[in-house]
Amino acid sequence: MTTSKFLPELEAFQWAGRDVFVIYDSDISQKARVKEAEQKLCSILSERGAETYKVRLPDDNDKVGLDDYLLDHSDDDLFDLLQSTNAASPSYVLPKTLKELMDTDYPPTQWIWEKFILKGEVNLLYANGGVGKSMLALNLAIHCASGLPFLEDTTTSTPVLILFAEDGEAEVNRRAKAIYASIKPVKKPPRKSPDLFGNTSLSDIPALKKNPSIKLWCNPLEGATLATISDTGEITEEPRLHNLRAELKKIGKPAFIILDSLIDLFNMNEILRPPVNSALKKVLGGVNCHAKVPHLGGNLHLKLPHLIC
Amino acid sequence: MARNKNEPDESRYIFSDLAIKKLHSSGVNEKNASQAGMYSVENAKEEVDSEFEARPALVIPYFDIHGKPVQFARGGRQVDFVRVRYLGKAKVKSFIEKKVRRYAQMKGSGVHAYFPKIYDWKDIAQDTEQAILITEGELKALAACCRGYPTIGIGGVDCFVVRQEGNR
Repeated sequence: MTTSKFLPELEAFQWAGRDVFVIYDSDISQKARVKEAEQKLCSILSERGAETYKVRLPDDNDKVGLDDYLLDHSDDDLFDLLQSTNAASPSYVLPKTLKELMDTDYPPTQWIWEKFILKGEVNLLYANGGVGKSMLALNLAIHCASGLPFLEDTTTSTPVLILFAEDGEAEVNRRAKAIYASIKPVKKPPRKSPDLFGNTSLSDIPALKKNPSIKLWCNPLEGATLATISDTGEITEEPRLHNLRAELKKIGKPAFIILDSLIDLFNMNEILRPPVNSALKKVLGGVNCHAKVPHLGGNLHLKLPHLIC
Repeated sequence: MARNKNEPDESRYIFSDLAIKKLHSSGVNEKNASQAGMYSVENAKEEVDSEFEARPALVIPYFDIHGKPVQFARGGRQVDFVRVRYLGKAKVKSFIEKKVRRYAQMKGSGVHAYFPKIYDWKDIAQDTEQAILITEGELKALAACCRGYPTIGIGGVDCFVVRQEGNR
């Protein structure tokens, strides 16, 4: 791969706050490649804090370079030309003032599980072994799939896809039954009389048990590894990641993905591993993109929340 | 502006007629050209380097911001980097019209910025109050410097970057 680097002798200059006038020949308007180069140069200088100006030399249908211009014009003419040139737009997004930020309306934070699991982000759940991370994740999945509050905080109704790397189907079966047995009827207001509170019928629970919006792999025989991440952060995708993407496409809308547990799912050096969140975003970022929504007939950029246990 | 006080002796302003014509067409006089280290040759192949064509040329040495010659490694030794501007008409033996090369540099000599040696670029590099012009071509840069505008020349439209092979 070929990369380009700003010349070291130009890099040695202090550019921040300096006015830099870039002057190509007058025929630049007819030469796309030259305009592209001019933009690139201005961008490089602008990134380093220079105020850049793209100077246009006047011509009478003849190509005019800076030397030609100076032959026919005085020093003051050049000064006036530079003065009359507007500064180019900076190549990077300028920082906002706090006032601008506060005057802007932003959409509220979206949660999968209010206050704990952000929608569209990688959420990591860390704890010592054996304290119940997997149980919590399964419990949350069951509540999210039905939009039921969990531990008194609301959840967003979302399809769930789970990959348990350590627990087999029998164990997950036992846990799921225990969770369903513990789910208490939820009070919710009747539609027509907001002053009275009624109970949710326990008859909802069987439907919950068959909820097709939860799909899971439990300690799959073919292996659970999604990717191998080297010490330098280089990611090698494994077949299970393709399976995950395939299942997400079938779901066809944003889903809550639970990956349990991190070390089993991603081969990496625990001592030298790169920032976990960053690596996961790289891997799962690919999952976020281009999840197809059939009824819209196109590919949408969908944000998918993930919980890593 | 911090001009270089070590101006050369006028007796050294030795340029061929073709070179003088070229310099004047860019608004540069012999004194400034000599101050910038330029000189002319009748045969660039014989007088500068065997890689060049056997043609008259204006030789343009490059200097860093400290005024020292820019060099590159060739065959285990350091060689001064120069570009040549060929002068006069080239003899082209061909039935097909070929574009005649006007500028040339030695193979593997790299990409460098041109700092006309009539300013103290070391100070300018640090003084951000000092505006800078950047233009394509050494003679254009020198011409603007002679008129009081510190101007850096680049040898081609995108010769402000160096390309590298390999991973980032």
